[in-house]
Amino acid sequence: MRILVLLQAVPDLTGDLQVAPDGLSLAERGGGRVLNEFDEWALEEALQLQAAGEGEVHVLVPQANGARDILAAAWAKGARRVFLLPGSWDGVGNWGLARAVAWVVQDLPSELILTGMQSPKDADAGLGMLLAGFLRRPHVNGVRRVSLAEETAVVEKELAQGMVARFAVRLPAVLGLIGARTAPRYLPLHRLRQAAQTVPVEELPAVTPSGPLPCTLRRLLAPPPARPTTFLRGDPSQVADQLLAVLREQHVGRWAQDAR
Amino acid sequence: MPGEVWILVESLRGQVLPTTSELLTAGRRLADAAGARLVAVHLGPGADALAPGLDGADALLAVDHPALAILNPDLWVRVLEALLAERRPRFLLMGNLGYELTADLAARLDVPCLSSCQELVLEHDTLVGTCRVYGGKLLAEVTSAAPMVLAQLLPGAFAPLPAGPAPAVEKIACPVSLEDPGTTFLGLDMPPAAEVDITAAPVLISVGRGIGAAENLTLAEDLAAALGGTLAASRPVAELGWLPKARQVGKTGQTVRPRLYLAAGISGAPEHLEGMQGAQLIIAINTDPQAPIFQVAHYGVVGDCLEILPALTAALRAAEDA
Repeated sequence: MRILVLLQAVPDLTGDLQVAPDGLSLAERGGGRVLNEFDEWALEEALQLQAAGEGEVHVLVPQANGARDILAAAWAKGARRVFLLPGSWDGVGNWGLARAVAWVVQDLPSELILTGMQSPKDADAGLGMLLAGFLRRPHVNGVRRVSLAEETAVVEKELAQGMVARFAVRLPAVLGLIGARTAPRYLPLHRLRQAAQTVPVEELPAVTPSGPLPCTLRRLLAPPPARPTTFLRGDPSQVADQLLAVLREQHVGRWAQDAR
Repeated sequence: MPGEVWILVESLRGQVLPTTSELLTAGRRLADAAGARLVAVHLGPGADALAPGLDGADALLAVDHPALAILNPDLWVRVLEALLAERRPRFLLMGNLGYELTADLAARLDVPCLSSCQELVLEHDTLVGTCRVYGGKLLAEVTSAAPMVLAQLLPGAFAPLPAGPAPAVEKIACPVSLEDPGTTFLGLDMPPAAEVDITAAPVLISVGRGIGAAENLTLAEDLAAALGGTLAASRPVAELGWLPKARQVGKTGQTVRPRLYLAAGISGAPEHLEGMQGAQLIIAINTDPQAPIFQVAHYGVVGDCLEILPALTAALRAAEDA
């Protein structure tokens, strides 16, 4: 069974994100892009299935800064084939990207497509579920574990309050992952560097999204705070004293009875 | 009928969920702006009992079929695709169910969709959605003038409407075959009994990835002990197995409203904020000044929780001894 894992390079959310002067894109500040954290779970679950002899993992990454590093890392972790989807995808949203992926996967037969449940740039919609719609394949989103039987995937879907729903999904199908049976495996830096030199990236034919995009991005902006935040400053002990004063004033903890 | 504004009802065990009330608020605004009817759509049995909780809607359209009693992605997409294609509403708004359904439906029907919307307005004939992107660090204003648009709303972004009369229920036959489903519901697993109920704790010390390693949890445990608090966690910490899932706060964890929520090393992804923004007092510690947790915090500390937590514990103990 072929398991295609769709991975995306996204801005590093731990970094300083600023809007570019055009108001429509991010200012690139030399900070690299990283693998979407939900996609990491998808890759790990796929590799676990492969290790159990239940499939062969292929990886597809749309071109972006950092895409080749992601392909190299996936290959070093055990993916059997790695594909790059050339093109400029920043301005087309997930809608345009999903259309293009739906087109190219016709030539990449796979019984199961795994991807992250969501990505940080999902203003239009999640890539995986859009892809399921374009391919008209069954899907489940928010999956944390997959097991395979003939022509069926059995999945665990996370619900609210810690509940888990189990579904059988007829293959071929698309799954959006929110977790995996184990945490994403660690890749030592030297192995990543080595893989970057030797990874056999297969570049797919260029695809242009067809038809007009149904939504228009008018602008990106910083969110206003929901409430004014008072920032406490100083060294850790000074901050601790200020926090203590807040807890006392707000009657929290040992001062709770003072409010009664 | 064409031009209507629809919302998809979310319910559990015969009760309308709060997200549905928020959908009614957003839907009412759009319906009033467009001069259209607001229609609540319910899939599965039990529509009559739900109707009183759907005040604000002009009508309740119900597909009463036992196979739709629980969210089955393939069956729900089939039914909604058929309803949307036949009745052509102007908008369909969804809450948490939208994470499962919006994109698939939009792609099948070739109509636009917006996700994680915290605001929706109609400007002339164009829908403008304000969507949270990049983990809540930025907003994207997205527009569409298409004749049908699907939108998934961010839970917690819309206040419920004041109570009103219950809508009339219109029951219709299932518009499509539910035979040979692509997804089959196998069962529901309840979480194991928790050793502690974080929803009942008045003080929560909640840790995120910024805690760095499982062995650093002792810093939060020490503070919780000094403050009479309980330990909680963001999703990544629970997923890594550093704390039990029963202590997870957020969309797939617990919704908490404690007297104090101290977030240590938590960035504040929208899914986490959904579970804790109702806390009475929120204190956030994070090294990233742009962390979205600061958007909802009453007090913020831009710093390393590995330094601030022990300092606060020491200060509390000193105050105890004084």
